Amino acid sequence: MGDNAHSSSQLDLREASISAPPPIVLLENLTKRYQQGSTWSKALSRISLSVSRGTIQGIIGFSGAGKTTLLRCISRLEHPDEGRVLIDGADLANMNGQELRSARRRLGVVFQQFHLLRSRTVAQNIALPLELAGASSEAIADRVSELLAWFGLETKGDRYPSQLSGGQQQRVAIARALATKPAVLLSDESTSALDPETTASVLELLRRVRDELGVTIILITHELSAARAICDRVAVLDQGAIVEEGPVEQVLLRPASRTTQRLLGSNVGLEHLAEYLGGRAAHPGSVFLELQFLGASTTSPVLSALVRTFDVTINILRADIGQLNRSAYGFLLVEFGGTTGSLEQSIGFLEAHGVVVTQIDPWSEAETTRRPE
Amino acid sequence: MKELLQLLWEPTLETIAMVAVSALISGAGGTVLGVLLVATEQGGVLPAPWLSRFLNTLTNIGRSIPFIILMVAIIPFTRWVVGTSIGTTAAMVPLVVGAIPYVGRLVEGALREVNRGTIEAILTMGATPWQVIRKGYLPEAIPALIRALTVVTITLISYSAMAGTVGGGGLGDLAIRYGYQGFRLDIMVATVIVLIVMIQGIQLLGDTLARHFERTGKAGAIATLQRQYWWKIFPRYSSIVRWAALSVLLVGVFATILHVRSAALNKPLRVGVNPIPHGEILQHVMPLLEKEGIHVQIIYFNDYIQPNLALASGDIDANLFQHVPFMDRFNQDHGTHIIAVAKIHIEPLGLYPGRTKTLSKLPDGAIIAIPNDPVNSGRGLLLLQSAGLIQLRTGINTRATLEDISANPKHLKISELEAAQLPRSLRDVDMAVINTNYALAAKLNPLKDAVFLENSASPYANVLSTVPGKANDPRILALIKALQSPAAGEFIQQKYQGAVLPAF
Repeated sequence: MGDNAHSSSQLDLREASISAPPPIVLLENLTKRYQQGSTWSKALSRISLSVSRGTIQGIIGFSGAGKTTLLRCISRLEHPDEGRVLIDGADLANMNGQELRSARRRLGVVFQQFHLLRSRTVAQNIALPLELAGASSEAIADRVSELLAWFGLETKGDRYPSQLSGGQQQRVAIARALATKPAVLLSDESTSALDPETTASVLELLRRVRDELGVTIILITHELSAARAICDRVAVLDQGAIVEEGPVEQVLLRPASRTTQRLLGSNVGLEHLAEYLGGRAAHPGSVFLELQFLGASTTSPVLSALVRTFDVTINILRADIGQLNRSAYGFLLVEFGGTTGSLEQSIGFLEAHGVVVTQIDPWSEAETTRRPE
Repeated sequence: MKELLQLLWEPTLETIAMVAVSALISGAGGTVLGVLLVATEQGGVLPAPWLSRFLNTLTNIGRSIPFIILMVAIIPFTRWVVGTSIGTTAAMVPLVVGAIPYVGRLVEGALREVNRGTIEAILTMGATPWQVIRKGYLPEAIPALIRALTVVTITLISYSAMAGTVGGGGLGDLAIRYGYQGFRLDIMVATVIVLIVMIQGIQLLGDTLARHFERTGKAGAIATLQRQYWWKIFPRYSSIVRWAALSVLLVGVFATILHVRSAALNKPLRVGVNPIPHGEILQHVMPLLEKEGIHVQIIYFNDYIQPNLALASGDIDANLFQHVPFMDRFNQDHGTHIIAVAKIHIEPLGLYPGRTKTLSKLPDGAIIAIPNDPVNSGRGLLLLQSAGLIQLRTGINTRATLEDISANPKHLKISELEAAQLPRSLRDVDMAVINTNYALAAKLNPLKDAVFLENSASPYANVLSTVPGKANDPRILALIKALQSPAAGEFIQQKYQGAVLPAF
C-alpha cells in the first residue's frame, strides 16, 4: 500500500509538472474484491494509471499479481467494485447496456489463446466486430481487405483458423481487434503462447500498430523480454497494487521496488545461481555483480578497458543480450575479484561508462526470489 | 416378397413422417431450450436465475417421464393440438414433447463446449447477448449440434416404435404387431433391416456434415462475406453434402405429404381393433363395405384400454375387441358410455399346457398363469373353477379375484400376467389361461391344444362397440351388416377352424 501511495503521488506530480494532452487511458482507484468463504479479499486495490496517446504501456508482475483481473476489469469482463476506467473519454466501469457496447468499440482486446472463431474464415473473423456494430457489407468488405493487406494476410483470407500457425492466428486476432479502429489495444499475454521467434515478430507488429496507426497499447505480460522490447513505460503489479511505474529504462535498469528486483532476478535466473555455485561462497575478496549495458555502453569494450586499468579478475557466470525499447541491451552476471579498493574503483569506472551495476548476494536472493505463498 | 413390400411401404412412410416432423420441431424447440439454459444461468449472457431454475426443473421432469407414459398422459394436449389422439399425426405430438427436453440438454452440452474465451472475446467487441448467441455460441457449436441432432433423430426412430400404442403405425409397430405378436419372423427381420438402413444413413449423413463443419476446408474470402446470410448457407458447401441434406429433407416432406394426403382424402369410418382375429375379420369384410362406398380405416391397438378411450373421445367411431363384461366394467371405472351394438364372434378362453401336459398330471403347487386385466382375470378364475381345479366363493361370478378362491386343493400358485405375454410364459409355468386371439397368434390351436376350453355358450362374445350417438349412423349399420354377413361367418369358421366361432 505504501508503495502504491508513493507511486500514485509520483504520478500526480508528473501530470502536474508536464502539461501533456489528456491521457487516452485513465484508471482511477480501480478496486475489485473477491469473496472467499466469509472473507473478502482484494484482487485489485486502488489501481491508478494514466497512459498518454501513442504510448505502449507495459503491465508486468508475477502470476497471481492481479494482471488478469486488471485486464478483465478494464475490458469490463468483470465489473470493478470501485473506480473508473476511462478509455478515450468513455468510463467503461460505469456504463451498461447499449452505452457500454458502443464504448467497447474504442478498445480492442487481444488474448493469449487468440480466441478466434473456428467456424469463421480469417476474413470473417476480422469482419465480426464490424458486423456486430452493424456496418454495411460494402464497408465491411473494404475494411477487411484493408486490414488483410496491412497485416500481410491477403492470401489467408479464406483460410480457417485451424489451418494457421499460432503466429498467424495472433496476427489475425490483432487485425480483428483493430477492425473498429479503436484508440486503445489491450494485449493480454498475447505472445505467451508463441515461440521466441514468433514472439519477436508479433511484438514488432504491435510496435508497427502503434507507430503507423497511432494506437495506444496496453501490454499485459509476465515476460520481461516482451516488456523490454517494445514498452515505453512499465507498471509493476504486486498483490493487486501498482508498486512501481515509470519509463521502461528506469524501471527495468534501476528498479526501486523489491518486487521489480525479484522479477528481474527471477528473470535472469538468480534463483539458480546458488544451486549452480553448489554452496560455494564467493571467493575471499570477491563479489557477485549484475551489469546492465544500454545503448553506447553495449558497443564499447568497457570490460577489457577495465581489466587493463585495474587489478581485478572477472568470471562471467551468465550473459544475455536483447533490446530495451529500441536500444541495444546487454546483461552480465559476473564474479569480480580484487582488493577492496580496486573493486570500488572498478564499479565507479563502470558506472562512469554508463553501465548499471547492482551487487547481489546469490544466497539471500535464492531465499527472496521464491514466491511467498 | 410382394406382400412383404406392401406391408412395409406404409409403415416406412409413417416412420419417416413421424421422425422427420418430430425431429424438425423438437430440434427447433430443443435448440431454443438449450440456448435459454446456457444463456440464463449465473454468469451467462442473459442471467435470469429464476428462469434458469424453472427451465432446469422443467427439463428434468420432461426427461424423467417414461415415453410410453408420457404418450398416454398428454392425450388431452395431443387432441387439443392436432384434433385427434389417434394416428400418425397424433403420435408426433408426444414424440416432440418427449424429445424437446432431451434435445435441450444435448444442445446445452454442445454450447458449453464452445470455448469460454471465444465468447468473452465476442463480448469485448460490444456484442449484444443475442449477437453472442447468434454469431458466437450457435455457429461455433455447429459440429456438436449436428452430432446431437443425429443422436436425437435415431432416438426418435426407436421412440416411434411405441407409436403403435396410439395407433400411430410405423415400422416399430409393424414389428411388434406382425413380428412379435403374430410370430412372423420374416416381417420382424425385414422391419429391422429397414430400420438398420435408415439409422446407418442418418448416422453417416450426420458424421459427414459434422466433419464438414469442423472447418478444415476453404471458402471464398471476401466473396463469402457478402453472402453469409443463413438462407444462403447451402450454396457454400460441397455438392454432396448439399444434395444429401436436401434429399433427406425432401424424403421427409414427401412422406409427410403422402401420409397427410391419404388421411385427409376421404374421411373414413375409423374402427379400432386388436389385430387377430378382429382385424383379420374386419379386413375380410372391407370389400363388402367399399362396394357400398363406405371407406373403413382400421386402427390397430395392442392393448385393451386405448381402443375404448379413443372411442369415448371420438377419435375412432367403433371398436371390435371386447366382450360385454369387460365393456361394462370399463364404463363403470371410466365413467364412459360405450354400448355394444352387435355380437360378432366368440373366442373361447382356454387352459393350455405348459410344463405339465394333462390336467390329471397337474402336480401339487403347480404354477398357473392367468391374464392380469380385471375382466379376463375373473374369467380365467371361472374357467379354472369349471375345470374343477379351484372353488370360488359363491355369487362372485365375473368379478372374481384371487382373494375369492375358497378352495385350492392342489395348492396351485396362480400368477397374473399381461394377456399378450401368456403364450410366451408357457415354458415357465405348468399351464396358462390364454385368450384365443393370443393363442392363435402363438400358433396354438384351441381345439387341439387346449386341455380345457370355455364352452361355446359363453357370455363372452366379442362385440362391436360404439357410443350412443353413433349407434344409428348408417355406416355403423352397414358395418354390422357386413360383419354379420354369411360371408363373414364362413370366413371365421374356415380361417380359425372352429376356434373362433361366429356369434350371430
